[in-house]
Amino acid sequence: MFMESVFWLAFNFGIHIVLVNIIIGLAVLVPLFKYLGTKRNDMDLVTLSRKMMKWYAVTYGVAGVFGTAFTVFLFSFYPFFTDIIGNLLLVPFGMSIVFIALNFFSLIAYWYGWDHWSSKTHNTIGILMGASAIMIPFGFRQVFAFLNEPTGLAFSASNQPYLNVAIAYTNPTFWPLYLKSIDGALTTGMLAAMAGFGLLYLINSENKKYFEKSVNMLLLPSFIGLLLMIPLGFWYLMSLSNVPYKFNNIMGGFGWTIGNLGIAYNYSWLFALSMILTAIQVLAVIYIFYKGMKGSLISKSTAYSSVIAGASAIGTIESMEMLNAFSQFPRFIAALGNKQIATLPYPWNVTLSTALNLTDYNPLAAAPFATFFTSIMMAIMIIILALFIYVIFFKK
Amino acid sequence: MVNAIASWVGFGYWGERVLSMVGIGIHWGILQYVLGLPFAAFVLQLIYLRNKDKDYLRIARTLIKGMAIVFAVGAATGTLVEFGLIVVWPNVLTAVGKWLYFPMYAEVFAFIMEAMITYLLYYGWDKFSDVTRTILTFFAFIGPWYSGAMILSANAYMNVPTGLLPDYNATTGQWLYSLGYPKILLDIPNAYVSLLNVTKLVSLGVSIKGTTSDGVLAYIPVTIVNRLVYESFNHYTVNQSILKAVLNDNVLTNQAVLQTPVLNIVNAIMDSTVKYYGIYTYLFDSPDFTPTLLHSIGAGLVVTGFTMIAGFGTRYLKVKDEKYKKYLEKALKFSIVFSLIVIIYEGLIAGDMMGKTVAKYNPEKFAAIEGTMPGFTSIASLFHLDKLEAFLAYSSFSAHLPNYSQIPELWGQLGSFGVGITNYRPPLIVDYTYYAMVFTGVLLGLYALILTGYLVFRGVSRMHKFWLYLAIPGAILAQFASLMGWGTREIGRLPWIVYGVMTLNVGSTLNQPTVWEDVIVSLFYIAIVVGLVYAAYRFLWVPSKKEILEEVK
Repeated sequence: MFMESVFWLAFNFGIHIVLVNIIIGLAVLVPLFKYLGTKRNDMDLVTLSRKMMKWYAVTYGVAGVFGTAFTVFLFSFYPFFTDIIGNLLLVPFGMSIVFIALNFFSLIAYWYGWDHWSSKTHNTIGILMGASAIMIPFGFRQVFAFLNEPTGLAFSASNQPYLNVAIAYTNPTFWPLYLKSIDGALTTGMLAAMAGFGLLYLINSENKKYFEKSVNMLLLPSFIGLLLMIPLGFWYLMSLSNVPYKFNNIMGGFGWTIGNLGIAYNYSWLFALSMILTAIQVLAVIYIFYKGMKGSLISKSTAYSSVIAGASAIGTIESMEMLNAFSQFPRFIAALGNKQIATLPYPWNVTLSTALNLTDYNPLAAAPFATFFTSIMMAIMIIILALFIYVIFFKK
Repeated sequence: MVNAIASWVGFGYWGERVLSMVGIGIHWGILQYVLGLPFAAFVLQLIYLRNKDKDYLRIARTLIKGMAIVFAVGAATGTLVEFGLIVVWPNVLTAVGKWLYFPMYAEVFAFIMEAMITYLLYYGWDKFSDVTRTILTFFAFIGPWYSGAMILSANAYMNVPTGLLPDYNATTGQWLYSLGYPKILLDIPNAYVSLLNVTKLVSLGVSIKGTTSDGVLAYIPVTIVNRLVYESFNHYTVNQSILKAVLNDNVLTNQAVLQTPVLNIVNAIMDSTVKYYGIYTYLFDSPDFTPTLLHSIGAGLVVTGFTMIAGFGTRYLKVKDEKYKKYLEKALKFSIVFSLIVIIYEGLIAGDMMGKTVAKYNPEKFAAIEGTMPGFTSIASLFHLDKLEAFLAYSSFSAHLPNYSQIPELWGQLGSFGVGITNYRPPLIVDYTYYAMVFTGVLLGLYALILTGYLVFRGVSRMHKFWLYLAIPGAILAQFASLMGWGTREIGRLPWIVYGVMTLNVGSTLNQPTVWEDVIVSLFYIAIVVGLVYAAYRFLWVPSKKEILEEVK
């Protein structure tokens, strides 16, 4: 069954979330490298940092565009769901909004003020830029945790729903999800940066020193990040045991189910894909280590390996996020099926039964011309995006 | 004595309103330049293509640099505004997403066009041919205008919903509330028509316009619409609703009908109405759309024009290098002529269209703007502008301005079925905000005229420094005028979020932000903007002196 509402949400979210992961990684790496480069008087490292800053700025702009598109699709296709989360999740959304603003403005100040601030001030802004990037998911991942199970949802004496924020942050799925996301973002950022410099080296061997510098700086931390993903991923998976509907859709294909719900939609293949992509990353990184021990750390083959590792990291993020989202289909809140919604006080037991169902989308938004228009415009947008990247990075 | 501020304060929901005012206010200020700078750069490139004077290309590039910076901030604040609307006014966004979504859809692509082309120009300026660059600059201003058109279509609908029949007769000076006005044209699906008692509906002021293939077109008094929207978002069923009073007798015992949520019925009516007008054109049919678009773009051009005068003018005052001075003279000439043209357009064409639309479709707001209330010192009466205003609004000196004191406090309420609003009269403070805009606009027009006089008769080099020193206050006043115009538009609609449809309390979030949350977020926003202005001055303005000097040499 093809649902264009789900397709467009997944399409925009899929692009947005990958870029966001890279952004978080770069937001931490750029000021760190600039600081270390200045401290060690290593100008190549400072240049490396500046090049990454340009990637960061461009990625930020593109991610912002797709993020906005996602929001518009969400409230057009699912207006009543948007209403509910808008009413309930003011604090977590608000936190993310504040940190997005802080991150954006520190990015501007850091980028445009590169040679203008004093080193100390520039570094301080850099810390602000990295810290705010790490804090953006602190709000958004709370929203995702709430969509796993609505911990903290309460009803006032007048029967109005509200979120008890303190309790919401005790959601068993929040902390593993948040920490896994941060680790994933930093690791992906590192691998993507290595891949970028690897690619530049493959295109033009004059870029060898940057590739070498990036490998020297990032290879070991990215490997540690990859290893950390294993316990964090397992922790998140275990936390989903409170949400059998979702857990079974993820693990049911391997014969591992909880309770007697069975499997509604089998997405175990996406889990398997994620594991394969993670394994490719690990192998690619190990290969570079191996080549390093053999004395040829910087070569065409290690550059190819870094590109493979970076691409696999991006693929892993994509498949993991899609798995997380689709494994609760068609529920917006994985723990709330019709049975659970029916136990909520009136009128929420009625309202939520349709508002929390992904198959119940706004038919006006799915009208034929809207679909046609969206498809054409999205195609044009992607062409312009490709042209944009070509002109900025490659056109002489 | 009427207290204009008290009536404004009295509508409550200050938490949400302050957040919106700060967030949207900042975005509004920034987007003036996004609307104006690329257009000015485009005109400059046309001049360059004609006379091949490279200075005009350099001026255009300077403007595009400015655009790249403000666009980034504008995009970020715009995204934050969108998120802010979701959490602060969720029901409004729900209604927009459900029934008014198409322009929002289309805006996404406008936004993308703006972002990509702006940065293509910024980063790739020297990589394109003259003609390609000019074409790209054309799209660089079309993008923001297209984007603005989409967003403003929703705002226009909020002021004048499509299908609105206004409630004031300027020829007789009579309000038409007793006849059920204002009314909105809605398409009621046949499935619901068969349940309703037409005689009772007509007695409530409903008038039938005709039929469609699957429903009946009816003008419904906003008092009814207002109440039904309130019931929808408060989860009423038909059994609890005013609808129960207009049901046919044979349906009164039908539990399936009585237990139907009012939201389902409103949803069906709105779906049907949107389809009747056209899913893709519903918002653009609002009579407020074209004037709003033209007036808003005009405001952006005016602010841009006067800011260019300030930028180039203050630089001109300090520069010694003759070559650089010549370059700045050209930039100043262009900025002055540009400003004069756009302010004339804004005042005499777009402003006039806007004013006439407000007078016709938002007479309560117009009455507040004119302050036609005994005991209230209105600017119009102070300067004896009443007759002139009546002529400007209705093209007749014998027309009557709407009398504010004759507006019933509860004109938007259906009998005793309130929605939690105790006063439907718009705040009189808009009298001051409106005339602040008008007087500032006139002053700016005179200023542009004087500067043009200098250009024509004496040239830039012989312009008295005093006039150039006025350029910075001129730019600030242009922003002020724009802000006052926007304030008049938004404040004058209170207590409605969507005129005649949704009130402030209905659109607001269930879980209102606390005072400390408001204060922290607002201070945070303001601090960021102050920091940004400082950063722009310190790291863009100051070093650019050197850059431009080198470029000219």
